[in-house]
Amino acid sequence: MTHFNEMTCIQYLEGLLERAQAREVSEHADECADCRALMRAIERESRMLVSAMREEDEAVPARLLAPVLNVRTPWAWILSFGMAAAGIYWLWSGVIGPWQEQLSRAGFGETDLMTLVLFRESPLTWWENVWTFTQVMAAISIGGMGVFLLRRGWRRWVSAPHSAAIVMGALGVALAVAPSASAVEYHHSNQSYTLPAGSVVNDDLIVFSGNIRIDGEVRGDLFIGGASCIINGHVTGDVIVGASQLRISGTVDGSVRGSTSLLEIRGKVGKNITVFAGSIEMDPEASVGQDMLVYAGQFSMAGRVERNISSRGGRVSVDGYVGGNISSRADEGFAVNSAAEVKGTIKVSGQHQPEVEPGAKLASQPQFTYMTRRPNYTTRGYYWHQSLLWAAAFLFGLFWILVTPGIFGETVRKMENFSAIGFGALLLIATPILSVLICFSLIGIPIAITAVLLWAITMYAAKVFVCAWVGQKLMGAATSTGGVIARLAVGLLLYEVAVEIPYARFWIWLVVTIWGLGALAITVFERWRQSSATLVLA
Amino acid sequence: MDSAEQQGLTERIARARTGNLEAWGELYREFAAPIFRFCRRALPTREDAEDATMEIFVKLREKIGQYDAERPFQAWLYKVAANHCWDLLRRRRIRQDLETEGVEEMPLEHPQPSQLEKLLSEHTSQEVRTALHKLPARSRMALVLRYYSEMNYDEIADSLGVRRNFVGVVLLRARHQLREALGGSRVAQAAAGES
Repeated sequence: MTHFNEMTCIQYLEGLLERAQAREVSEHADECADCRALMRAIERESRMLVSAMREEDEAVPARLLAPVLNVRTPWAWILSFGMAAAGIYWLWSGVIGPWQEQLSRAGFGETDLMTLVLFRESPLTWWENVWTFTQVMAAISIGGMGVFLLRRGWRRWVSAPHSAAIVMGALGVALAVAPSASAVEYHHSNQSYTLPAGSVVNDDLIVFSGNIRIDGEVRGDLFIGGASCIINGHVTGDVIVGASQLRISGTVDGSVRGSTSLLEIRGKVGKNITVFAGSIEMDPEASVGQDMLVYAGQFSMAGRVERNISSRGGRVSVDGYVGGNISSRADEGFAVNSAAEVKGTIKVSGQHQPEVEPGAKLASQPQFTYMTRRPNYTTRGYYWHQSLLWAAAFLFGLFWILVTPGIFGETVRKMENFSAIGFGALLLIATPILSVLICFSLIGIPIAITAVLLWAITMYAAKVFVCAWVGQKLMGAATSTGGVIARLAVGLLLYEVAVEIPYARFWIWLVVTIWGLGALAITVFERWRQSSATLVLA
Repeated sequence: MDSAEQQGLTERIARARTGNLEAWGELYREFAAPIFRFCRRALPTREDAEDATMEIFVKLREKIGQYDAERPFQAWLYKVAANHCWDLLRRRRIRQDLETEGVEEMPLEHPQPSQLEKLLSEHTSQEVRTALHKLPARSRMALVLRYYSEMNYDEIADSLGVRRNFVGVVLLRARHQLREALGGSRVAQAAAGES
């Protein structure tokens, strides 16, 4: 045999040669010193490769030592939390803000619905700061998420075609899964629902119906949605309401929370009342065991409230017993009638001095602060608030630019396509209507809530795309990511200034939202169509 | 692995297949470190290896139903890991198209045994690992599959998507590239000069 080559040597050492050929190689190696030397060297190289590969030179990272069950959790939570915070932020600046303005004009006073949503107990001392807190949390969480993405190598996400869907999906799944967790009794009809006297429900009870009447006992929480709701019976837990009218003549051991145009309280509420209502009427025989946190155009209180009352709204009339303090912003007036008894302090703000009838038993005279409805441009708080609005929107935009630059760029380009306006208008109107219809279908409430939340987040995102486009028009096309970010910053700044123009705020918001929403929807739709086509071809 | 350990592993796998989370936790604790090291050898950065390790275990949970209990579990595990890492590398286009061009025809110079021995003596395992990361993705992957995972040529061919007969050439070329990365171009040059 002639000298064997390197390949044959490796194959011999790895036992890959046929028996006859292997014997031939072996015999040759016995006779040939050169080939024997080559074989030894190759064998040593193989051993070195194995030892270099298998040597435990690095400690296993701590995060890998955690159970695999948590593998996907951090991303889902980070994304969900960030997007949820952004969604909450949007709810305030995009929906609650304009509502607040309109309600205020209609005499309902300023409202702070976010407190209702976020906090189960009534935080009387610091609820003024809730929104600031929410904004800061939104900014921190989105900013933190951005830093995390950058640290972990966000470029990998850039190439992911469905990263936007993952972001939205994480929130959607979190929202969709949550409501189904607890065991409840569920009733749903278009006509009416009555829990007869003597009947007992041993779980939480959820009822959606035209007219609802609870004469029996619910041993759990009661969730009600309908035109008219009457509680004559006994609820041992909380009552969560979304209805045109709610009358409580029976007993609620827990708290009452929600939204209704008319709330009548004739019975007993064991804990707190936290409601957003057009009008609240509390009869002399009514009682509330703890605090009241109310937002109402008209609030007439004639029963007993054992602790504090905090209210915002149009007109407040106190004709009963209050065991603690009263803090009220009453734009249409605040009256303390002769039968009233207030053990704590009374602080009133608004445009009208409080009226106190003779005979009222007060621990101290009301303290009044005059407040205007217009923003106070001379305060630092106003500029801090505006800066937060800008920063949160900027961080939200940054998130889109860094995580999904493809979708971002494409959507900004779609702004030139004026059909986006029509599409956006359609989505703006159709999505909430469809969501309400879905509520009454078999698919159910979680899907509807998810759809509305996604719709809300997308509406907030609309502003970002429009502002980036405006920035681009003013400063020219960007050639780098930094340039895109700079144009977004300028666009957002202009937007925040523009929406301060009296009477134009709502219309600017509307046009921007419709336009951006349409452009984003067209982009997502086209991408979805492309990916569907790819799947079909594959 | 002795028979008792093998039996324990088989039992854990069986429980994991039924969705038993505790069994999954045990399998994870047992194999997370080897899989991380595999990924560390195959992928460019430590962060990539961390992410890939977690993703591989997620994939394992999804694919456990496809595991053939007649085959060694480790072989299947490394197969899944190899496919995942190779997919990652391909997606990032690390594999250069030129890399595959004419490899079969390219002459590989015969090494001079004494020079090769000298080269191996002069370098530590750490230096070999560093040099490994200078190799083209496919060469590195081939060496990792062969010398870390102990895959046979058929399995390597399957994982890398190349013909079975081509695996030997890929591995041989990878060895030459590694020698060059270790600064041993003289191994071949010297041999060429002597021949």
